[in-house]
Amino acid sequence: MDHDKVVKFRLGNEFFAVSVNDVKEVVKMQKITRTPNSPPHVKGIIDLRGIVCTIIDPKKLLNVGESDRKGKERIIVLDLKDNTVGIKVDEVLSVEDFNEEQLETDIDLGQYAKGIIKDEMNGRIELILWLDIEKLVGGTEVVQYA
Amino acid sequence: MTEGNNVIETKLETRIMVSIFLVFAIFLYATVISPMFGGFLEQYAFQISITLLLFVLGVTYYFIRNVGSSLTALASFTTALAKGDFDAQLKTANKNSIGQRLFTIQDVRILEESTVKMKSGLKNMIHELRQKESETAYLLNALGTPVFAIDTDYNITMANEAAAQAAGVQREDLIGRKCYHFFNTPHCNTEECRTSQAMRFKESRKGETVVNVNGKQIPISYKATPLFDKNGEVTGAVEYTVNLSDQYAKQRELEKKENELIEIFKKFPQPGYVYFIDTEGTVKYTSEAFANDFVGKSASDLIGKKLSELIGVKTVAEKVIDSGRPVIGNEGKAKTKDGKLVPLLVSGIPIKLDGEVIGALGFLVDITEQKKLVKYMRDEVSRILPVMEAAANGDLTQELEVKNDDDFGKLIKAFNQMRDNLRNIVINITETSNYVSSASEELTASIEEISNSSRAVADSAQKIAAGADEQTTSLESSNKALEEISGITEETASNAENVLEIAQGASSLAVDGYDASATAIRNMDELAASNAEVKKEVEELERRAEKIGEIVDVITTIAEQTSLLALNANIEAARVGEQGRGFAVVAGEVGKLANETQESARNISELIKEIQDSMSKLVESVKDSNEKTEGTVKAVSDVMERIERIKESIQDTVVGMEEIKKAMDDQANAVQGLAVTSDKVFQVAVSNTQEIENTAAAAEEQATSVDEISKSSEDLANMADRLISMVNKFKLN
Repeated sequence: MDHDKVVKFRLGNEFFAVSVNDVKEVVKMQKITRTPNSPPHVKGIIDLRGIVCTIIDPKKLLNVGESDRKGKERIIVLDLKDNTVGIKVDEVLSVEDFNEEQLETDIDLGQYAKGIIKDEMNGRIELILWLDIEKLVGGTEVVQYA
Repeated sequence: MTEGNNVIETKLETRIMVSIFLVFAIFLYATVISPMFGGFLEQYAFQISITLLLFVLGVTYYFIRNVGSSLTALASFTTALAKGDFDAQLKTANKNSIGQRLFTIQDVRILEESTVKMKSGLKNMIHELRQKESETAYLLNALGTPVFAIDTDYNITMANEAAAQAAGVQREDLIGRKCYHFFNTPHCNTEECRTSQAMRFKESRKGETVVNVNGKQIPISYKATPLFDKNGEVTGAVEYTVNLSDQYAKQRELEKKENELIEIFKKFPQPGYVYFIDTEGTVKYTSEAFANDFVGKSASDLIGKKLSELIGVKTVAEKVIDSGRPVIGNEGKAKTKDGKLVPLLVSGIPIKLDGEVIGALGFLVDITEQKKLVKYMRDEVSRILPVMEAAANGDLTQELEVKNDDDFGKLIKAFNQMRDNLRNIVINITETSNYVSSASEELTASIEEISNSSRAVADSAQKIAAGADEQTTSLESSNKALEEISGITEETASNAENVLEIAQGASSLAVDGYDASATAIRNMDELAASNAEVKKEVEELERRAEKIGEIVDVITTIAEQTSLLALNANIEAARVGEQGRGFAVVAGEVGKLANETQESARNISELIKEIQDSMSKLVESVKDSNEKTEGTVKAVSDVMERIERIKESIQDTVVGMEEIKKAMDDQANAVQGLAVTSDKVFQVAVSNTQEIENTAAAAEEQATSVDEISKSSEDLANMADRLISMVNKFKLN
């Protein structure tokens, strides 16, 4: 199975996941240069080893509140075909395996979700929203400076 | 009837008639003719008559004996028949008797046969007659009034039940007896007897007489009617009587009543004009005065005459007889025989007997004197009345003259006396009421003053009462305050005692404190020296800690980097799939290690930070401690000085406190005494208040009473004034 591995991360106080295949790398948070006239969820751009990477704040799209715990912000650089896009997250937790029993796809969770992964964390079941990156970022018009 | 029978009858009759005539002639001679001629035979008439009668009887006996027993038998048979004994049988006479010799057997047989035939004929006739007779008798008996018939010799031949009843015997006993035997009247055996008159004059006669039966006298009216035979000869008479007892009784009662009334009228005061007339207007009684004054005759001349004819006008008595209603006291005038017009009070009273007017009483009263008296009275009254009215209206000046020594004279005398007395009374009242008036004015003024005073007293008393109330209230609160003070004083006293004890304790503590302070100053000096050393040591420590911190930062950075690398390696390994699995494990382990390193570094960093903080604090505190030690030393010196002064103060305090305690005790006693006194005062005040309130109420009442008196006094004054004005209405001069 290609889709049994995900990168789990935190936005505010909620947990989310993206498929490992959609992730190119995780980098430290660095200074984001703001781009004028861009939609509210587009935070700006960064220089990623010579490549301009557009940074998106998924909290705006997913309507998630700000985080209580600061200091572990990361940028997950996504592996997209045409452009390099990173999403700003509050913390990257781990790479997780999950099987089919853990997955719930029947529930209608809105346009951005692929399903719900029931993950055991610290002795209790945590529901993790599995995000569809294409849908989340695909419609994003990104200013290309390269 | 046969011829033979007629012959026998005629013969027999003739012989008997001759005999009877002879007897009658002798009797007539003896009783009537002889006395008429006043002959000497009168003396011996009766004896001669008897002698003659005996002689005749002897002849007759002899004749009868000679005629024979046949005739006797026949005669007894016919007599029996005549008596109505139709059962009698004709007995055949002795053939040897004179009768047989006188009459042949043939004759006797014829006679006997005829007699027997006659018997049956008679029987029939008698039967019819009896029938008629019983009818007649019935009718007669139906008549309630006595009826009887007599023959010419006054023998009763018939009578009805009423007649028998009137006679007081049975009807049968009347028959054949003389009427005058039963109805013994004054008319009986006289010319007055209407029956004898009727028989004599052959016409009905009427009369009234009195029947004497069994000692009772019954007035009757009777009518006698003669009875005739077929030849027109009088055979008797029928007498029809009516009992007049009731009528007579009524008449007598009427007369009695009239007489009684007249007796009453006679007692009327004379000269009273009283008369009594019957319903015909006939004078039954009149007083002499009436007869003299109005008719001019004596009373006895008027009795039985018509009054209206005597006087010439219809009298009041006649009027009331007509009307049936009495006239009482009508005033009128009438002319006397002298031509004087006399004023009269006229009364007429119908007199009734059993509801029927039997006459009327006329009663006239001459009221000339009364009229005169009335005039005199009117004159006197009109003389007296104005003076009395004037007196009634208060004019007591007029006096009346006594004219006559009559009731009016007495009245006037009494009036004059009354007037004099009244004058005296009025004068007295005037004087007295003048006095009362002025006195009551003075009284009113005095009462006004009293009223004002008592009102003032009432007001004052009220105010005092209010004041006393306040006072009581104040006393009450003062009492309470005193109690409180007493409590507080006691408390204070005990507090003072405590304070004294404390002060004494404080004194010894001050001594201890002074000693301790001296020790403290020594210790402080030692502390200051050791603090300087600590400071040096701490500064060295700080420097080293900073270095450790720098090292830990480097370690943290490395660990973080390592962790990120491990994550990316892991992602990379995952993307690769199965081939990257081993790598992923390694990357995971590295990541974990890096995380642990990071954790440890963070811990170290925190510890160093804490050490640094403690160090800084220590340095600060040492510095502080030094400063404080210096201050403390100075302060302790001050303390020592102060303790010295405290000791002195405490000593003073102890003395003061003792004094306070003593004073407080005294005060407590005083307050106690004061409280008792105040309580008494309060009680007194309360009773005072009560009394004052009573006084106020009394004063109020007095004021009210005085008001009432004042009003009464004013009333009195008013009354006196009114009295004066009333008395002033009397005119005295």
